[in-house]
Amino acid sequence: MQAKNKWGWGPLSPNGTILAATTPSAVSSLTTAIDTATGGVTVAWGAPSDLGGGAVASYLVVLKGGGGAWATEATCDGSNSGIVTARTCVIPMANLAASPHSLSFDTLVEVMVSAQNILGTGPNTTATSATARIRQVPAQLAAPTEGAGTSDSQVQVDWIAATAAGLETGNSAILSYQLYWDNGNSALTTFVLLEDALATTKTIVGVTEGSEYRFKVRAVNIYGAGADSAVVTIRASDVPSPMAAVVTTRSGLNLTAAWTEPANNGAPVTAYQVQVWSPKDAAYQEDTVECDGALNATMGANKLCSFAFLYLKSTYLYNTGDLVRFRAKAENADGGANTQLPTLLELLS
Amino acid sequence: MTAFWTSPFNLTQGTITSAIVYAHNERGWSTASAANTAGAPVEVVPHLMAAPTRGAATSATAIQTDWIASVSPATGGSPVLGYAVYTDDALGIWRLVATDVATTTYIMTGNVTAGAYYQF
Repeated sequence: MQAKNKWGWGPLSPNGTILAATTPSAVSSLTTAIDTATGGVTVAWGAPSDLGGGAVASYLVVLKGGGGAWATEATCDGSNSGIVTARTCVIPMANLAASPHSLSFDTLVEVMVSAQNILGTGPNTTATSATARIRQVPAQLAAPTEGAGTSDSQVQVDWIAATAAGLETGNSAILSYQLYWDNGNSALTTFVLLEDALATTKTIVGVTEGSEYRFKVRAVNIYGAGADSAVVTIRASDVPSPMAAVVTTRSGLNLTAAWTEPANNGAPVTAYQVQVWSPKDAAYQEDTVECDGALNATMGANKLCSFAFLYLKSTYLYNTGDLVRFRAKAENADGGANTQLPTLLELLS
Repeated sequence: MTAFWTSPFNLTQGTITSAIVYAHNERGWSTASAANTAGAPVEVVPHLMAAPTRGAATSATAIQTDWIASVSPATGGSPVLGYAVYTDDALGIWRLVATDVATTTYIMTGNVTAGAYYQF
């Protein structure tokens, strides 16, 4: 380089060295997707269509955070030679939810990538389609419930599957449900894992009749386990056993009905129900006037009722010589509808 | 002008050329006149320029080289009429690629090898 005026050319300048290159063009085909193996977000892109004359030395990968600021991510460091070669990386979902990104559930993962060479950084490319959203662990399940298969010898626990898209599943398939219990130890504060399976019911056999068992359940997806459900307590019990036939006797102008407590099958009997066949109605009627089976009533507590013949005639339209029929059942916390006493007959005077 | 740059005058750029005059007749030389205090300053060729730099239009197929225009006193006291640009074509062999360039930038296209270092 030299300048000239009317007196001639000046001296030659020192050399300046210029690389025949420019910054790379934008990267192509930038996408994000959920990595099925890890649940992380896969970021992938193509090489710039124009390297600018210099090899790509690194890529600048930045993510848009929840506050709107863009930041780099250590697990997708575009200066890493492996990432430069593969042009892809997988960012753990937990990293995206943590600072500095702080992305909340279902937020679109926005990524910008630019190529860099010795001359600088090319233009940004932003992923605008086929983009991943933030996923997370499942939501807390409802407390499990006692299953119909519960008896005095086994406990069945049921729970409702998490299936809905969104918070319920964390937008990721449920992999299993973890059922915890106290194994019948009411003093136990840390429950132990009983079952880890993709099921919504569990039957535990060999339990102790009348014992109470506490359970809680949580759903698991690829991101981990959701919060524990509330605790449910299930007693190893069943409806009372069928009662023995009511014993009826005549006492003067009265008829007495007596019964005995059946096996309660793990849950105390809470009430008896004594029914009288009513010719008037052609059906059995519970008679709480003369035979209240509630345990807080004298009759129920004593398991003994007395009916005057005149009462039976006036109330149920029995006639002299008719057969009076009774039946009864015992109830506990598990019910009692299935325990019916065979009809008993008594000749009415 | 060039006579003032060398011996015995060795005048530098901007120096006023000062002279005294004697008259001569058949009686001999007069006394010297007073020396002039104003007049034309000495001018020289343009000064050494700074190394040229990379221009923004440089790419894999073209090279833009920029330089800083010579301004007084680097002009040598006389307006710059043009610049000459040389390159080694990334081969170490220098050649003149442009002369009497009136601007302060030059774009070389053709025969540019991507990723090669060119000297200007």
